[in-house]
Amino acid sequence: MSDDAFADVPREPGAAKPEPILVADSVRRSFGGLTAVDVQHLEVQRNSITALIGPNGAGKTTFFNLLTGFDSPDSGEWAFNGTSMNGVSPYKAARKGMVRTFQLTKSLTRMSVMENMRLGATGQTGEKLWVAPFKFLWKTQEDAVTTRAEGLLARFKLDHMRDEFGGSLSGGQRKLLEMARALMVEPEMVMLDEPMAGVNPALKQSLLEHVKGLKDEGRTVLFVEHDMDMVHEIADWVVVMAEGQIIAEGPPSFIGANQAVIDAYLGAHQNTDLGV
Amino acid sequence: MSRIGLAAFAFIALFSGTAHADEETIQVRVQHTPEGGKKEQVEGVEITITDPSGSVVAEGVTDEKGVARLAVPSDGSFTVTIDPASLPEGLGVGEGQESRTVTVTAGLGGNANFNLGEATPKAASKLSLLPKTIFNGIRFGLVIAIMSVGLSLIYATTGLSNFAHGETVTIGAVMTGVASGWFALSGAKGGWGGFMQLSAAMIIGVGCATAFSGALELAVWRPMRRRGIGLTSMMIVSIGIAMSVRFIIQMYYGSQPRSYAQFGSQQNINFGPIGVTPRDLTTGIVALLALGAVGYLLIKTRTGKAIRAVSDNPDLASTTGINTERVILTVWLLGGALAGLGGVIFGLDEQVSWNMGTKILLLMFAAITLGGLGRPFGALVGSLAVGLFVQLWAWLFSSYTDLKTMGALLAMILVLLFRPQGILGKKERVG
Amino acid sequence: MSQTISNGLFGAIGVTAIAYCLAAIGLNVHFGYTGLLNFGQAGFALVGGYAVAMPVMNWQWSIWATIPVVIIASSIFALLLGIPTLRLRSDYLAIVTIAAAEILRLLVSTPKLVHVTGATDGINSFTNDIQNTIPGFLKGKSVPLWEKQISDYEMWVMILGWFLVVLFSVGVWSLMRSPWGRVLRSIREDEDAARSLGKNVFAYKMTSLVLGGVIGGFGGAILVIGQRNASPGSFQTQFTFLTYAIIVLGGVGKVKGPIVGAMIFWFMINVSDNLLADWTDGSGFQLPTWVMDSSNFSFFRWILVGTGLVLLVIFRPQGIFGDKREQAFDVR
Repeated sequence: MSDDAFADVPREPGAAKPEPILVADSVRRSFGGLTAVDVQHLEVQRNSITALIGPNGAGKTTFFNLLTGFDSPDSGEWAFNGTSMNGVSPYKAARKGMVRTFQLTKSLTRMSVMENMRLGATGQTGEKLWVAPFKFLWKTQEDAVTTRAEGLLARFKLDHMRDEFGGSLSGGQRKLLEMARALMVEPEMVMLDEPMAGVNPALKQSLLEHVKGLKDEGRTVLFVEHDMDMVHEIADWVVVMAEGQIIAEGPPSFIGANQAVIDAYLGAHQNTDLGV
Repeated sequence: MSRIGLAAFAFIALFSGTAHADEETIQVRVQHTPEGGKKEQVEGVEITITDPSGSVVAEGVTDEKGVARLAVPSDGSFTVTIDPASLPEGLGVGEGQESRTVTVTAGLGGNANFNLGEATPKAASKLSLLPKTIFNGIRFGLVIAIMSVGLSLIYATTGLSNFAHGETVTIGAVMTGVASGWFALSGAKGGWGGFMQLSAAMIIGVGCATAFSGALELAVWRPMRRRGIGLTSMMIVSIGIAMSVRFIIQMYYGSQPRSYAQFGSQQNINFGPIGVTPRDLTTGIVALLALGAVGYLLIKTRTGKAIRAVSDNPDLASTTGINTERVILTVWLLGGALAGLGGVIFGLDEQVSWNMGTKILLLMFAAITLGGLGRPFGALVGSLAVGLFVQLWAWLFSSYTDLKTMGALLAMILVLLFRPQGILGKKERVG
Repeated sequence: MSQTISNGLFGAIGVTAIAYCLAAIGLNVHFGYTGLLNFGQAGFALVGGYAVAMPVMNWQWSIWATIPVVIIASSIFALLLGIPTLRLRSDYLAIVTIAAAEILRLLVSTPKLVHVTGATDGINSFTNDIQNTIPGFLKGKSVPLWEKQISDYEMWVMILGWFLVVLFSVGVWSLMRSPWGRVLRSIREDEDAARSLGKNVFAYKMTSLVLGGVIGGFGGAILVIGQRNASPGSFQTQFTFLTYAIIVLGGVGKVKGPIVGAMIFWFMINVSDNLLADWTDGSGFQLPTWVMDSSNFSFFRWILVGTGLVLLVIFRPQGIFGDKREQAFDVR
């Protein structure tokens, strides 16, 4: 997949993509009197890295929660791979191939890194109550899951932490673990909520490579980020949200120069480095 | 059948009874003994006698001696029923007492004596008791509200479901009882003197509850928060504290419930359909004043605004320069004082016992859950709902009053099923 | 002194310890592995106890035929509690379970139902089938435990009870080492994380509630059989809190936790009761009467339990034998 896919896409909010994996229409969510999300139309291109940016309180995380079923909207429609996802519970959304991570990492602190990884695998027969007590029934599958987990841990350079508790990892390692664990689900689309927040600079570069690697594997990535350097480096397409609405779309170079985006950021916080 | 007609029928029956040899007579006597008074005969009570197949064999009305002699066609067993509606005002028969079976022996006849009591709620029109029921419900709701405002504020500011809150209530009531015992030695019972004594004792009791609550915050909860111990652990610790304190009270106060020495039973003052004792009226007013003061504090004062800010978002509040720890201590002290006051009023309504707080704790939790966890004004609404529900249950199902607490708890579960956030709660914001 | 120790040992392995141990195994599934705040384990035990006693008394069932009733009734109770609460924040489950347990206790206490439940006196004489099945080698004998004599009936119930303890402990152990148990632990740690990985959290929580509830139901069944009486007094809120004390003592989220906890707990309760009785009976060493006397020393055990629970949670949350890193609840 090359960046050409976006060659003919107009650089405007709600632009149609040649091969959308996710399409959202009129998604609204308000808390009390405050409208947190009001997205008219959004398409996410398959096998691309799309960044969702915007000032604090723009509704990015809420939008993420809505798409993945962790929150329900007041109104709106959205479809993943052509299937409507309205009212689909979070676990079903994950099984359909949309797997998300969280802004505040949710590494399972009193489970080992390996157990964290194994948990991610889907379709485990040993997760059925009637099968679970009989180890010989799930042993083979467990071994296969473990092998796959070991491969991923090695790729994310966490293999030396294999038997440590999730709680003993550093902030950056937790981000890595969460991403690796999400991959155990084998999702078509990975949704990362601020993958760089709280990660030390030394780890940042390897995280970036991992995100790029996801695309090379044929997956679609949608991520929320504040770090504009990262956006510039890896995103194929950038969607900008402010006050719940999508105010601009385009490739990273276009967004940096967009007046609406600058206004939105300057209105919110003056000193943000837009990386222009 | 009209009353005159009945009387005529009875008259005929009385005389015709002697005319046939087969007929037997049942003598029915209706009387009433007022408390501490002489036995009185009750006149004009309508009586029906039925045979085992259920058909009416005789009807009659008692005379000025409270007696009716009714003829029945044969010996055997008959059912004698008095009509509760024909009883003089203020008198009634107990439930299931209005009819009884009489065995008539050939040649000797039979007897049925009815001893009336004071009118029971059932005998009086149920509807006429509704205003009083609602009044009692609101009053009980106010008492629960005083106690549970603290529980709710503590939950809102710290996230802790404090199971030791019931013991704070008990301490307030018990220490007031102990202190009122000291004062009662000087003599006055009831009246103005008794009121003053109890008020003085109450200051001591409420002070003890406040001190207990504040001391727990300083000695247990604050250090636990500093050590980063989680809320579940803290909840279990509060259960342990509740258990220890409850049984310490039982050990030294005793298992017997007691009343405050100053106030026994009182005469009602009537306001239309609602009769209320001066004691209940006073405590009702005190409860209202206390709640009003809390409302004013929360809405108008700096402290109150700080409390609400911490309830909404502790982290945000502390970044805006609010001293969170101080606000939390204030909440514990305030909650303790209110719980103690509630305990005294509850002790006046019922009795002071070692486990009174535990008994009412669940209703407090029901109230704050109903109102919406963590909403201070939700606690008030929820408490009124629980108070009303308990009294209305007792009114509606007068033979199941022992289950009135159960009714309130059941109502809470049902409300959660349809409105999980409670009556005033806001919808949960996920993520 | 040897009498005191004998009583303590009997307490540790006796019927009460077994009943509380079973309730604790169930609560451990809820609280220790899944993180569910069930404060109504007394309710599950009550359901189990009455599920045994009521059919035998009211419809002359064989006591063995009530085993499926215990399972079905506890499961239904779990479903009724779970449906309104398991989608809500954990506090709601706590409030609803404690309330539901009280509702049941009030319901079986009411005089209106005296013909069905025996009201506050409860149900007696439903244990003939147990009495009649005492095996020959026990029949009519009393088994000595040092200075304590155990009757043939007690011994037989203890054998049945410990069989259940072993059965359920092995069951829980085999479940918790499996991928199924891994999902439960992930829910305890962070249910949103489990959801985001495609796990049907509600279904797992419900299964856990049913499973732990059924085990708790058997705890209640053993309790009423051992006491030969099913009455509401055995199933007060206190029952649940003692069960919590037991699993905190033995180690939350560990298979041996409920067993170790129940044995130590009832050993200490019995020993302290015996000692205090000895120290207030008017001969030998005596405690000052302003501290306690023969009329009120029996309350002291609960003060001890409460204080012990507080100290354990604060200073040894991993249980008396546990490793700090293995503490299974609420570090954060």
